[in-house]
Formats: sequence, structure tokens, C-alpha cells
Amino acid sequence: MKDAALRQAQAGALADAVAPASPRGLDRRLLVVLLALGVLCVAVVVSIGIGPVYIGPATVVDALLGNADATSNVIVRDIRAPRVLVGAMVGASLAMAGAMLQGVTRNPLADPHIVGISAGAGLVAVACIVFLPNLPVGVVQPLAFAGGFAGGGLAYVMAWRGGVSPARLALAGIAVTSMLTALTSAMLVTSAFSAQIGLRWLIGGLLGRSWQDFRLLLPYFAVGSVVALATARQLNVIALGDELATSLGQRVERTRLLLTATAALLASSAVSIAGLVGFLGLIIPHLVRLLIGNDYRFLLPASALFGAVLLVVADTAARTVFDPKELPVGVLTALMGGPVFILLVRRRA
Amino acid sequence: MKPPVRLLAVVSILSLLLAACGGGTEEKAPPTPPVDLTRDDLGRSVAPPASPQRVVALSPTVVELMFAVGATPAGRPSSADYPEAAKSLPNFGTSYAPSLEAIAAMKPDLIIADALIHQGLVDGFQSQLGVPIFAVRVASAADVAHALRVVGALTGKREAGETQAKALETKLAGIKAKLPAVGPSVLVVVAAGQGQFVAAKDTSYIGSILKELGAKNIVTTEPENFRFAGFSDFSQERIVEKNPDVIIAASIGPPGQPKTTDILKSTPAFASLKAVKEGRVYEVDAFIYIQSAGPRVSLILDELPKLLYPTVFAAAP
Repeated sequence: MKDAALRQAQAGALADAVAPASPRGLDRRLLVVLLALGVLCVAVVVSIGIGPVYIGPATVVDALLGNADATSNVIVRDIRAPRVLVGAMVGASLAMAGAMLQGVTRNPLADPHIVGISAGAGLVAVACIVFLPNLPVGVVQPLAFAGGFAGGGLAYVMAWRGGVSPARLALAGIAVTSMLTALTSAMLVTSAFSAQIGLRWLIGGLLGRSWQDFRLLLPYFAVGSVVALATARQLNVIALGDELATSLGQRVERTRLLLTATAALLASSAVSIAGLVGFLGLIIPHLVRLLIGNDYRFLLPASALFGAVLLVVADTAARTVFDPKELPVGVLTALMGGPVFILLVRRRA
Repeated sequence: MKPPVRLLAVVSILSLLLAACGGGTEEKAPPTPPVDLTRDDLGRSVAPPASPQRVVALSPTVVELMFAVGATPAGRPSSADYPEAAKSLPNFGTSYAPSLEAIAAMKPDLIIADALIHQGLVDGFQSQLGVPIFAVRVASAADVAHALRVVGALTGKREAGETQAKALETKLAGIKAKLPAVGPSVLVVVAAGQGQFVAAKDTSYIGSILKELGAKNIVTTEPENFRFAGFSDFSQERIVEKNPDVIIAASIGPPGQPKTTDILKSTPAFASLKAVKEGRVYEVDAFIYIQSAGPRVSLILDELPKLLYPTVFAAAP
């Protein structure tokens, strides 16, 4: 799993982590972050403007302010706006979690789906759908969140031998994921009615997400993002390797636990709302690395913004292109993500 | 022992003649459409036996039709649990995936299939089993009357089928005579889980009944894409946009699954809907209204007019 290019780039980030970056480099990376912010704003506005029911741009603006007719108000404010904003938060959370896990495990393949987090959340959510179908979303969401956290925790504990080596963490995560996924499949195949609903959850989607989901997700997202951005410098150091990080005065095990827990917080909350939206946590960080390098102080916010853009755009397509049929957005992220990822891998090699 | 048998024969022939005469005097007024048993509802040529002894019903609809005309199937799909007597019949698996071996073990001399479910299976099954298969199509209230006549004729209960069909047609005509000039706009909706809603078009069974009853279905152009014939995905946005007067909600999950009505009422975007505010969201039995078209259409005709036109039909018994 050694990625020479990644190593080399990370070594380059040492200077950034320890000493202030050169003004010229800082400008370019900041520019990308600002550009991503602008693209996200446009994507959100356009996405709210598009849907199965046509509403003109002027009416959309009126409806956002609550001044349009009752029908447009409800469609724009109660159906589209919360769904788009939830999508943006989910995309941002998954991309940040992916970037952090890649740094912590020093493994370019790491993402929430591989280290046991998604599998844990999926197991709990599917168990709820199959056995307790009447549980309100306000109860299922925290349970799925706890499941994701537990899945990641289990992988962490299994990887522990007086310390967690990055390679062991990735391998333990894969083992935990396959066990939990097997249990999830067992529940799905033995439950005829819930199978389709459970499957749709596993693929991931934003159909019918409302302000209630927004309110459930917001606190996790806020705490997770703030901690992630605040620990970006530690992540830079730990991504250099344990020996180097220790020699630079980093308390490696403690930092690794804090970073993994933050990634688990972001990823678990995202998948507990949107299901297991695939590939986003893997490809967005790599895409951003190509643009601005491996300094996590820029990589994290840029990943968050691009992740949000990708999910908002993909979900707009998911709910309009095949209208009246809706695709789960997870299908589109995986379909779009696959070729992009292959392209990235080939360009880097 | 011979004389009593001969006497019995004479008596039964006499009674049959009497019955035939009686029937003849009654049938003067309305001419009954002839029932063609050589061609089924899929347009296939079939040669059903004159008096079959063991008839397997391939869908819940067919099971209900057979019981309605007084015939008892030799086998049923596992989901057919109406009427009560159906539950004790041997089953051959589900209607969508019937087991060929189980059906063969039932030794049928006639199989009645459902044109909406088994159009892809009938020819293969017929050649493999060597048993004639007759498909009936029930996609509207008028189809139920037709199917009662056909199934009655197929199973040697022609009279009963005719009586049942007549009763249904009379009932429908009586309701249609009382309908107001303008009907309400209606949505028939099923919550399929995870925020998905599917709705009935005019081409569905319940959709055709709504049309007969003068209601305006808000679902028109969408292509069909759900496993129930004539159903289509229908987004929250479209429901809000069309804002129907009445919502007929049905729930397809097993007991313990949330009801469609409850899901509709807990969806924030629907709080402003006319039907929700005026309390005109009605939960109905999904088996009767959607999944098992058939003789129980009479129950729909008892209930639905009252829901659509409370001022006209509410007082009716």
C-alpha cells in the first residue's frame, strides 16, 4: 500500500507543517478554497431552483424569502432547501472524514467505508428498518451514529497492540467491515418486505430529507468540522510517519485517537442521515490533493467544499434526470466516482 | 337398487327443466354478453375441459373470483388469504414466483392465471404441465363482472357467475346515477419507505374505479414503474403542486410497518395540503383496493363514494 508519490508529497508538507508557508503557495491554495466556496454557493442556488416541478428563477427567489404562492413556498422552502443543505453537509462530512482517515492510516485507500464506520452505522440502521420499522428518524439517527462510532471503535481496538499501527488499523477496518456487512446482508435477505427499503438505505440517498434531518445533523457537523480544522496541523505531522512525528514532539497515539474519533464523528453522522453514500470520501480528497497538495490546513476545507459540491450536484441529477423515477444519489456518486478515480490513479502513476 | 336411481334421475331432470324455464323468463330484459371460453384475456386459444374437477388459482384475484361463484380452488398462492376458507387450501408459493413442481403435485385439470401477473409464464407452464391455462384480466370494475362470468363458466358455476356479475353491475349503475356533476381531485398513494411515494394512475385498477366514480386523478402522465400495475413514483413536490382534495392512502407493509397515513401526516411539506388540513386523508385496505382486484370491488363501492362525496352518500346504508 506504499504510495511513493503520496510519501514524497507528504515529505514536502513537512516544511508547511513546521514553518510558515511561502506567501506565493499560500495564495494559490487559498484561491482554490475560495473558488470552491463560490462553486458551492452557485451549486446550492441552482439545485434549489431545479426539480420535478418547474418553478421560475424569480419565483424561486420569492419563495426562498417566503413571498411566493403557497405551493412554491412549500416546494422550495420545505422540500428542496433542506434536502440540498443536508446533501451539502453530508458531502462535506464524508470528504473531510476520508481525507483525515487517509492521513491517519497513511493509506491512500482509506475512507469511512473501509475502516468499519459505515458498516457499523449500516448494521444498526438496517436492524432498525427490519425489526423496529416504527422508530422515528429522531431515534434511528443517533442509534446509527452510535453504530458507526462503535464500528470504527471496534476496528481501532482490534488494531491495538500497545499502539495502533496505520497498516493494522486499515486491515482491522476491512475485517470489521466484512463481518458487519455479512450480518447486514443476513438481515436483509431474510426480510422480504424491508429488503428494498434497507437496500436503498445501504446505497445512500437524500429522498425526502427535511428540516428535521438538517437539525439532527447540524450539531455533529459543526463540532466535527471545527475539531477537524483545528487539528489540521497535527494531521500534517502524523501523516509524515510515526518516527518523524514523535521526533517533532507529537504525542502520536493520542493524536491518532483524536483524529480517528473526529473522522468517525463526521462520517457516522453523515451516513446515519443519508445512508452509505459511496466513494465520495475516497475520491474527493485525492482530487483536492492533485489541486493543492497535501497540507491538511487547506486540504480539509477544500475537501469539505468540493465534497459538498459533488453531492449537491449528484443529488440534483439523481432527482431530475430520470424523473419521475429517482435514483439514490449513492448510485450516481459511485458511477461518477469510479472513472474519475481511475483517471486520478493513472495520472499520478 | 335400480328403480330408486332411475326415479332420482327423473326427478333431477324435471327440476333442471323447471330451473331452465324459470331462468328463461327472468333473462328476457337484459341480453347477457356471451362468454367465450376458447380465447382467454391474453388472446390465447385455450381448450378448457367442460367440467374440471381440480382447478388451481394462480393469483389471489382468481382465488376470490372462484370462491365468489361457489367453486373451491385445488391450490392457491401463499398470499391468498381471503375468504377465510382459502387459508386451509394447499399453496404453491407466491403468485409472482409459483413453484411448478408444487402445482404439478396438485394434479390440476385446469389452471386459471392472472393476465396482469402471469403473461410471461402461461405458455411455458402450459407446455410443461400439459394442463390448459386460462388467463383472466381484472384491471377495472367492469373487468370484475366479466371475470365473474368467465370463471363461473369455466368452473361449471355459470349461473352463480352471472348472478354475481349482474349484482355488481346494478350496484355500480345505482351509484353512478347519484354522482354529482363535478368530482373531487384525488391522489391514491402508497408510502414505499425511505421517503418514496408511489401513486395510482387511471390505468390501475383503483384508478379505473375512481374514474367511474367521477373523481379526477391528479396522477396523469407519469410512466409506470412500480411493481403494481398502473402505479408510478410520485414526488413530494408533485403532490404539493397538485394539492388534491382527497387522499386515499394504502399501506403495503406487514403489520408493524408504519401506515402511509401516518407518514403523510408526519411529512412537514404535506402540512399545508388541502386534504390534510380538511381531514380528508383516508387509509384504506391495500389488499382490497390495490393488490387483490376482484369481487371485493363491492366493498370499495360501499366505501369509496362516501369518502369522495360525503354529502351525497354518507346517509346511505
